[in-house]
Amino acid sequence: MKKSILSLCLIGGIFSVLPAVAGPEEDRLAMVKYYSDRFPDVPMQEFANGLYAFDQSAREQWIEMEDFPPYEIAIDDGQVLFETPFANGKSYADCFDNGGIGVKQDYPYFDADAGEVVTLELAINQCREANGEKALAYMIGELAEIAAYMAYTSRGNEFAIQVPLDSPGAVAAYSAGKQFFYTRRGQLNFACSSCHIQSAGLNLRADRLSTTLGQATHWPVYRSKWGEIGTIQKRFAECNSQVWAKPLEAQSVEYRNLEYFLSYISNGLELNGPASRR
Amino acid sequence: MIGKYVFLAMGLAIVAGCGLQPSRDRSASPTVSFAETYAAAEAALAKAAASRNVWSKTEGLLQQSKIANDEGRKEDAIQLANEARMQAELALTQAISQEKDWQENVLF
Amino acid sequence: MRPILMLSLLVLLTSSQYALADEVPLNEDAIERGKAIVFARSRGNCLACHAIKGGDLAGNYGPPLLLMKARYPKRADLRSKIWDASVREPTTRMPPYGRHRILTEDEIDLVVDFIHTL
Repeated sequence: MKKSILSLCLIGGIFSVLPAVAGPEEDRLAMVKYYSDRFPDVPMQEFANGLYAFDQSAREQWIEMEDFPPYEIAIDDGQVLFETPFANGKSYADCFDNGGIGVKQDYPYFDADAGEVVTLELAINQCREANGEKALAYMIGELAEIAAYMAYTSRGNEFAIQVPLDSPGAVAAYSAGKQFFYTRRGQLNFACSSCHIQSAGLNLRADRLSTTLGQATHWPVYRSKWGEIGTIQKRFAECNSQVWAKPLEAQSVEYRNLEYFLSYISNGLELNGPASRR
Repeated sequence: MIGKYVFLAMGLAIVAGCGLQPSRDRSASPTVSFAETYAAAEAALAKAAASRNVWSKTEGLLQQSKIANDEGRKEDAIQLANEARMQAELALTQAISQEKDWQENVLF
Repeated sequence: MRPILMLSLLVLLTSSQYALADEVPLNEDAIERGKAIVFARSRGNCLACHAIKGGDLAGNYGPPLLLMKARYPKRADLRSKIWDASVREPTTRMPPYGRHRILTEDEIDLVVDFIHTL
């Protein structure tokens, strides 16, 4: 206790000297420590399963659902889409490292030339447009299916998001994502952190709130409430609506920065998408 | 000086107390035009949008306001537009204050 | 900034006295109407976070609403908590029902009437 007060003071001291931010790795380790203390019985990798890490009855239903995973069709359809060549004869495989197989652990990344965060979904559309195809709609549909297939081929890989400290743009994007995460929005005045840090594990009505740690590992997700597979940014939009804020556009700078921050926080956890959630 | 504050506070308290009554609609005066009220709401909404923080019900209020006006329910129309304006102003205030205050939410 | 804060505190104090002086005996109708607002998902939605006698599927995000008269002997304190809890507790997660116009002033009065009976 004394120690934590001391370290709080130290952190406070650092903040007052450098009002910018602690580094990404310090943030991640602090997050890991916070949730490990809050959920001492949950093994680290289990945080990738969201509320099923600590809600036993929800977990049982989820495991049952995984017998016939509702996202399976999306993986199959996504594979067909992924492997179908564009009109110019090229395909998605030509746009990505390793032919696009097992690469999701590297997304999002900061594109220093473009000066922006590139999510997997954005990269898929950039690939299409570079090959003369129309961009697909974000959040649901074919794009989510392609992402589901790419996530599937990346299962088991450890998240390895890079925020190069010698890249001011990358650090700024990460910091902006962090700020967004802690910023109160909407008429109900919640920040992401209000629910997913301060209240992680508690119930809103019958639903237990997930931890920030592991929140980015399992996308896209087939959510029973949606009745379809959707991307992480669809969930951002939904969270914003739930606090009575008008959602921002999918792949807006803010949402991409947020995804960058959240993904970095889950570094070291194994990817486990696509997944099902209720 | 202090007496002045107390006096002011009491005055405000009475105003606030009156606010508890159903009608706190400062637009009730017939001299306020719908067009002006609506334009003020639109302007406030544009500022909130520029701050990237629009509340989810505000645009709907503005639409309802327009419908009310089209249907000749002028008092409703003005009241709805005022509500939209106040929401947009509060959203902007929230965005501006959170530019600094977000750090209060960082617990570790 | 400080005079404004003082001023708002004064306003709160004086308005609480005002409210006390003004308080009419609670009637069942007001309590029932308050309860309806508290339980409605699109209005107070208080059950999302608080266990409340008579409500199902309550959350535990916030504390159960029990012994409210003992916890808030002054009706005005309860009202100001609901109106904007961040005045006393900046990191509160409680939505500012009054400051952000989530409920109308009248609705907040009814909600307070009901909550104070718990």
